[in-house]
Amino acid sequence: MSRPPELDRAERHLRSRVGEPLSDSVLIERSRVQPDAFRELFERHFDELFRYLAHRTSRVAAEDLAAETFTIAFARRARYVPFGDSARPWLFSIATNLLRERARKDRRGGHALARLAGRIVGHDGDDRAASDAREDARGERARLWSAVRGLRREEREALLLYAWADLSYAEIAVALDCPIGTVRSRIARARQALTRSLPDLDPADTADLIPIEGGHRDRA
Amino acid sequence: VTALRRLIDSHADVAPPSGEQRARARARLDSAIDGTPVRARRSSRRRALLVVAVAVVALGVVLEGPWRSGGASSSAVAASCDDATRPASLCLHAFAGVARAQREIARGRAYWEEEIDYGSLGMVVRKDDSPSIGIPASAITRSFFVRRTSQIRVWITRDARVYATSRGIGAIFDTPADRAAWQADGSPSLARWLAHPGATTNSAGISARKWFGLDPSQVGTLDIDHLPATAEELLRQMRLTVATQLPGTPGATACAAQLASCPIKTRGIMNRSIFTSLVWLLRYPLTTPAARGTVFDALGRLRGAALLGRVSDPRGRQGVGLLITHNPDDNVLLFQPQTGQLIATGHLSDPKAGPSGIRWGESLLVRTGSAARVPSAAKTGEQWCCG
Repeated sequence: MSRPPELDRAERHLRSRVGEPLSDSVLIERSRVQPDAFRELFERHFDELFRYLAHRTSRVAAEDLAAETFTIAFARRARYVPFGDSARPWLFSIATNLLRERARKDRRGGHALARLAGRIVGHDGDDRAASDAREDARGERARLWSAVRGLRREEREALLLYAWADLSYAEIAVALDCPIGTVRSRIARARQALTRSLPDLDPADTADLIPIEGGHRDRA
Repeated sequence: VTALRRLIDSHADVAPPSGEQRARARARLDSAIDGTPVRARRSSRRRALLVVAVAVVALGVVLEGPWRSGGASSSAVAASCDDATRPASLCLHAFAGVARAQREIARGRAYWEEEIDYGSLGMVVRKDDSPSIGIPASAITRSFFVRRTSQIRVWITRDARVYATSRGIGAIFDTPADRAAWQADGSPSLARWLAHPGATTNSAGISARKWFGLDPSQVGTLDIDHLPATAEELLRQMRLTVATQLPGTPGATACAAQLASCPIKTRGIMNRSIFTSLVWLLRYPLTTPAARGTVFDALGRLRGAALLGRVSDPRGRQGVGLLITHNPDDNVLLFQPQTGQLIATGHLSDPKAGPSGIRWGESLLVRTGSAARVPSAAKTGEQWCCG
């Protein structure tokens, strides 16, 4: 086998810089030949994914969905298309599809969204004590959640990926496989709908929470 | 406080998973990584469709690919090759049967495709940021070695032209000592070259023989498209070819006629050269099935050939290991049991350690098959070949 000159180029380009762990993208690429490398991805993102899914379903369901997200991601790692260094958009994309699939099954069972009514964090008792301690806030949050449930699915998904998963507009576009402009308009519509549903909140304060051109909300 | 802010803040109350939840989820991923079955979630109907789809794909591969499992021949491989105490010639003869039962690539679809993991070793990273090439070893204060992997994909046309792409995948420290040296060097970032840009390159339809590294002096007057039908004749012609390359070597001409009459040193040189040529012929995708069978039989007649039994390569694939002992090298070949494909090569750095003493070479054959077309990247990327 001839030695590819690109390896020589790599040598010539070899430079040391301080810091920086391997990016998610590099880990995923490496996992194609060293499957063990994928375990690091789990350690990096499982908790965050679990919390997002727990917030949207229950802690019991979240465990199953988050575990399934990683096993699916592992099986599909050869088809991974990097978006920046982070795999979060990709993982949340898989998780979102699993949520949709589960919602479809629940609807067929005739008991899905009704279960969610009134609950804020978990509904299977795991967070009962914590919820009780926040009884005063419960009413307000129930209204908030009710308003969120009233959003169209596409708008709700975009809004919650922004609010709970901390994805940028561009990352949400990747996760939902749609143009960034569509994400922007979906979130704008979602926020308008929330404001209409909860008129006691001050709409004048909302403008500064919208990021500019897809930045993360905390970096906007 | 806005509705959106309240929505965002509400997430802070969601507790992270418990240790047990994390462990259970991790175990599911571990199962997937380790190749054991993961808990099924699909409906029976979807599962049935999946089984049908997999069966169709598998059938397609078997029908399309010239590298077919040899049926009864592969049973002979198992019987002859699994027991490392049996003669290597029997095992290799069984592989010869598998090879002869296969189909010529030229009868396949438009292109023959191969995927190769190419792992290069020996990069030296220095703290002072200097290029590593051309620096005397004495000038290197702290260095470490990293094994870097590229994915090479090759498409071969029926008229023996090659298109190829190469893409960096990643790298690991070669040994724990290299990792320690890297840490002693202040753990400089490897991101820049581990995260290789992945640019594809192409070989612009060059000759397959050139791309696969055939040295014309190895084969001399041998016509590799029409090799002798018997192992004895193939070896005799190869010896003649080698003899012409060794004009100053005592007894070279006599060796060509009768190996047993060779001086030991000359015999060693000749054996190594013939071994190299035989391996090349096994590796070259356009070697005909009949010739491949002859090459297997010839390999079994080389001195120092011994079976290693079942051996795993760096990708964890189990194959039939063959050891060819000739000073100063102990070469190892690893064959895919069902097809006889040469999937990895290496050398035995520590004979006492058995298979665990194998140092694997740079190239691992990962996947083969036929393809209808060549990706444009293989024709438009930066050119490279055979440097």
